[in-house]
Amino acid sequence: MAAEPPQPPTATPDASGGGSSDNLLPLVYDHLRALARAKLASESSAQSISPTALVHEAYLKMVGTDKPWHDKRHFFAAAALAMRRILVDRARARQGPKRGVIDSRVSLEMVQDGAASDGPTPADILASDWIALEQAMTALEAHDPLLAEVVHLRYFAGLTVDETALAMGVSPRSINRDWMIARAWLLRRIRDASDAS
Amino acid sequence: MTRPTATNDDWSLVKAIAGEAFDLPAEQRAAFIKERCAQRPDLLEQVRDLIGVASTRTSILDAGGIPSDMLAAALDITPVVEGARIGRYVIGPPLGTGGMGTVHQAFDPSLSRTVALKFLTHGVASPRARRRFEVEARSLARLDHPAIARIFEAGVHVAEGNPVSVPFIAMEFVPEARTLDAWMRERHPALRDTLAMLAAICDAVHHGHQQGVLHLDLKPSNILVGKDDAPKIIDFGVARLRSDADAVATATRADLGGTPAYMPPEAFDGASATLDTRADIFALGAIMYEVLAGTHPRDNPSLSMQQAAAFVRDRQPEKLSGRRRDCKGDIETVVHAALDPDRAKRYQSAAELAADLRRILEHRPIVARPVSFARHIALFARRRKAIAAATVIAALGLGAGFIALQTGLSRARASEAIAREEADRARRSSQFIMGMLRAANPFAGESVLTAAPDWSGWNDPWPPVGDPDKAPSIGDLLAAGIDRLDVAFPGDLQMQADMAITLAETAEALADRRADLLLERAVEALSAAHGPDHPRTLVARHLLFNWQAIKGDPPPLETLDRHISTIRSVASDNRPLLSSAATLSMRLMVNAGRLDDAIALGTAVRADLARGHDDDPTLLNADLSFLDITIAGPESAAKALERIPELLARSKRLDAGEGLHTLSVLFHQQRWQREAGRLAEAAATIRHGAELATRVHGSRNKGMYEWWTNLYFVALILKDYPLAEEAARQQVAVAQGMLGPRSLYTTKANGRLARALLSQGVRLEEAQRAARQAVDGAPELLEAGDGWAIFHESLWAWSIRLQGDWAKALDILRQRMAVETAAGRPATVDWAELVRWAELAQGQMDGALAHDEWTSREPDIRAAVERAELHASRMSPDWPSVTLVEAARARFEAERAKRR
Repeated sequence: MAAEPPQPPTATPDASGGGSSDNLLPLVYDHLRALARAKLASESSAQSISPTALVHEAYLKMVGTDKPWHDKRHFFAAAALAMRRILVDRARARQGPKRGVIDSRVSLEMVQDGAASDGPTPADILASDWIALEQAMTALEAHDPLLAEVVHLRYFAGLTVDETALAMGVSPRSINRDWMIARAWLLRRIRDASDAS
Repeated sequence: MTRPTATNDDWSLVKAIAGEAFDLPAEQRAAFIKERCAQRPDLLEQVRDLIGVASTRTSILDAGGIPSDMLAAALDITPVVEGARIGRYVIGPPLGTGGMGTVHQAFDPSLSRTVALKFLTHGVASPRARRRFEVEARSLARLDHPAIARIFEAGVHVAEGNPVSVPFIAMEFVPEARTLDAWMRERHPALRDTLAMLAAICDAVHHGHQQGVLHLDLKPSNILVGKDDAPKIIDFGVARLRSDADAVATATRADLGGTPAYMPPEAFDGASATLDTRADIFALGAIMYEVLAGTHPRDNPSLSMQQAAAFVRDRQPEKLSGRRRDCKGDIETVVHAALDPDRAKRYQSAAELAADLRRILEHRPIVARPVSFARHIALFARRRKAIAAATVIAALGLGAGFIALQTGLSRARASEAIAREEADRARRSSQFIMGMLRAANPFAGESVLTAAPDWSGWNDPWPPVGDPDKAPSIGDLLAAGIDRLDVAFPGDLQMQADMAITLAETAEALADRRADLLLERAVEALSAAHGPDHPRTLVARHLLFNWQAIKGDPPPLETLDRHISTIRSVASDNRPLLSSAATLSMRLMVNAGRLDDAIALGTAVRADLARGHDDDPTLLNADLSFLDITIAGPESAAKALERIPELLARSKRLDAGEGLHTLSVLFHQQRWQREAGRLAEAAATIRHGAELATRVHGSRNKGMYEWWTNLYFVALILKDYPLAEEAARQQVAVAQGMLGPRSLYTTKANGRLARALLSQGVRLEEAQRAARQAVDGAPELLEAGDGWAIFHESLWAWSIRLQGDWAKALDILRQRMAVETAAGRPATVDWAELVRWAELAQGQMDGALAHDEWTSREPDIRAAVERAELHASRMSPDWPSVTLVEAARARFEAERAKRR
C-alpha cells in the first residue's frame, strides 16, 4: 500500500571515515521520516520542516547525549544520506509514469546572478532536478569524497558552516571554500549532463 | 562526459586555485586565476568554468538548504489509496491531513457504518509498542460523550515493503462537518450562541479529563460542528496514543505533536515540564480567543515551535476587548484567565471554565476574578435578588476579595464566588421547599404573610397542584416538583438532579410510581450537566434501575451489563455503587437462569472491590449479597452457611463487638438457614438479630421492619401462624408509624397480616379489613397491575370466600383479571391458577377447562402448578390445600379425558 517503500541505499560514501553509517542508515532513514511527518503534522505547515531541525532532533532521539562534534560525523553523514535518499525516492516516484519522456530533459532552472531579485522558489524545483542532482552527487562521491561529504553535511543535513567544520575537524573557512567548489562542480556537472542530452 | 577527466593532482590544483579565487571579490577573480594558471594553462579553462558556473543561482542548491515544501512533499508518503482495504475498512476519499496524520473517510461493511480512519504519522516499531498502542486505544474507546468523536478501534497497518508500520484509528465520522473556525465564518453566530458552544466544548474536554485523558492538541480544526450545530471534538487522547506508538523514548515535549500556537508556555520549558489538564485549558483559552476575536492570541495560528516559544517568552496576547468590543468585561476576564501563562492561575478544570461561561450567559458573577462590591449590587439588582441575601453575599465577597488582593491567588477568588454560588443555591432550594409546602396547603393563600412584601416564600409561588377540590397528596406534590425544577434552579442541572433524587426517594417510600419520572429526570439532568457516563449520572441511573427492579419492571440485562461495565471503567472508586449494581445484575441474571454468568460477574466485581482495600464494610456486604444471590436450594444454602463463622468474625472486627455489620451477617444467616431448611436455627438467629437490631436501631425503623418480615416468613414456613400474625402486626405498626397508611411498606404489611389471619381461619373480619387496606393503600399499584396489588386483591377475595361467598370471591378475581387483560398485561400463570382453584372449588368445570387451555399454552404450566401446590401446602386447611387441589385436579383430569 505504501506508494514508496524505502530502499537501502545502493551506495554509501566512506567519506564518513568508517563503514558504520552503513548500519546506521536504515535506522536514521526511518527516524527522519517519522520525525518529519510528525513535524509536518504538528506544525501544519510545510514551511516548518527544516532538514536542520529534523536531523538535530533525530540525533537527540537516537544518540541523545552531548558528544563532541567529531563523534557526530557518522551520524550526520548517515542522516544526510538518508535525507538525500528520501528526496530522490520521491522524485523518482513522481517521475515514474513519465519516465523516458522527461528523464533526459533536465530542466534545472538557472537564473543569472542578480537577474531575479526574488530568487528561485521551491516550487520551481522539478522532480527531474533532484534526479540530476542525485546523478551529479554520485559522480562527486566518486570524484572527490571529501567534497561530497561537505555537500552532505552542509546541504542535506543542513549543518551550518561552523558545525560542518567541527564535524569534519577543519576550519570554517576551509568548509566555506569546499562548499563553493563542490557547488560549482555539481552545477557544472548538471549543466553538462543537460547539454549532452 | 564532455570534459577530459582531470588527474587527482590536477584536481587538487584546480581546487586550490578556485578556492583562493572564491575568497576574492568577484571582480578580481578573473585576473587572479589567469595569473595562478600561468604555469598550467591547460587548467585555466577548467578553473574559469568552475568560477563562472558558481555565479549561477539555482533553485535547487540555493534556496537556503533543502526547501521545506520539497521535503514535506517527499515525506508525504500516503499509505493508503482510495478503494483499498485496511483491516475491514474500505478506504474512501481523504478528509484531510494534519492533526497528526492523514484522515480518510472509510466504510466498515461488517457494521455498515462510515468511519473516519486516521493514519498516524509515527510508526510503530516494536511488538511491545504496538500492544501498548492497542491497549491505550481501547481505553480511549471508552470515552463516551456526545461532544467527543468516538474512537471505535485502533490497529496497525503493515504496508507491504515498508519497515515502519502505520498505526490507524477508526473514529466516529461526523457527516457534513465543518471545523469550528469554518462554522464561525459561515454562521456568524450571536455572542451568546458562541459562548454556549464554547461551554459545551469545555464540558466534553472535562469529561475526557475525568477519564484521565488529555487532549493536548485542541485547536479549532480539531473541533467539528455537525449539521445539528453540535460540537464534536476529534482526536481526543490521540496525542497519548502517538507517544505510546513511538518506540523511542519521548525526550521532548514537541514529540507529543501539539500545535505550537495552542501550546501553553510550560510546553516550551523543555523536557522537564509534564503537561496536565491545564495545558488543555490553555488551548481552550486560545480557541475562545480566536473564535471570539477572529484572530489567534498569538496572531498566527500556524506558528512554528520556535516562534511560539518566542511569543510566550516575549509577549502577551492583546486584550480580547481590543479586538472585539463586546467581549469587554467578564468574557475577556474568562478568556484571559484560561490563557494565563502561569498554569496555577489558570482555571484548574474545564468544568470551572464551562461554569464561568454559563454564569456569563445567566448574568451571574464569574469566578475568575474578584468582583467589586458595586458590581455585586449591580448583578444582584439585575437578577432581582432578595436584599438580605445580597448583603450577606456582598459581605462575603468583600472579605474574600480582600484576601485575593493580598495574595493574588485565583483560588481565593474562586472560593468567594463559590461561597456566593452556594448561598444562591441554598436560597433557591429553600424557596423550592417553601413553594412545595405552601402548595400542599390549600389555605396558604389566605395567610397574612401575603401582605409582607419582603417575605421570600412568596417570590416563587407554585401553581395549584392536583385536584382543585382536594388537598394534594404528597405524591402529587412530588410529581409537581418535576415541573418546578426548571423554574426553581434554572441552568443548575446538578441542583435539579439532587432535588429530583431526593423527591424520588420519598416517592419510592410512598410506593408512588412517579418515582420513575423523578429518577429519569435526575438522570437526564446529570447527563446534561456532566455527561451520560459521569460517576454522578451513574449513581442516579443505578437508583432508577434498582427502583424499576423493585417494581418488577427491571431494565434488560444487556442494559445492566453496559451499566456495570461503565461503572467499572469510570466509577470504580465508588465501590458501594459497583457492589450494588452488581448485586442487581446478578439477581436478574439468576432470575433469567444465568447462574454461571452471575457467579462470574460476582467474582470479577469482588476482585475489583478488593483491589487495594483491606476488608471493609463494602467488601463484607458484597460477599453477603453475592453469596445470597447464588443460593438456590438447600445445598447451596448449606454451603454458604459454612462461611458464616468467617463472615461473623469479620463483622465483629469491623463492629468492634456486635453492631451494624454483625446485624447484616445475621440477617443473611437466617435467610440461608431458612433456605437450607433449618427453620428452628433460623428462628433463633432472627430472635438474636431482632434483639440486636433493637439495640442498634431502636424499635421503629426500616431495619426492624425487615427483621419482622423475616420472622413472618419463617413462621409461615413453620406453619406457626400465630407467630406470623405477630410478626405481621409488628410490621404494620412500624410501617404505619413511619409512613402512614398509604405506603408500599404498609400495604405489604397489611397483606401479610391478612394472610396470617386467613391462614388461621380466625378473625376473618379483621383479615378482610387488612386485605382491603392493602388493596386501597397504594391505588397506583393496583392501576399499574403490580404483583403486590394482585396478591392483595386475591387475599381480599379469599377473605370473602372464607366467609362463604364463593361467587363474590370469584367475581373479584375475574374483574381483576379483566382489568389486567384490558390494560394489555397478560395475566400471570399464578393469577390464572387462583381463578381456576376458585372455579374448581365451585365445580365450574367449563371455566376451569377454558383456563386449562389458556394455561397449557404457557410453557411453564407444570412449574406453575407445582408452585401453586407449594403455596397451598403452606396455607391453613382453609386455604385450598394440597388435598383440595389434588382432589380438584383429579376430577378435572378425569373430566378432560372424558371430553376428549
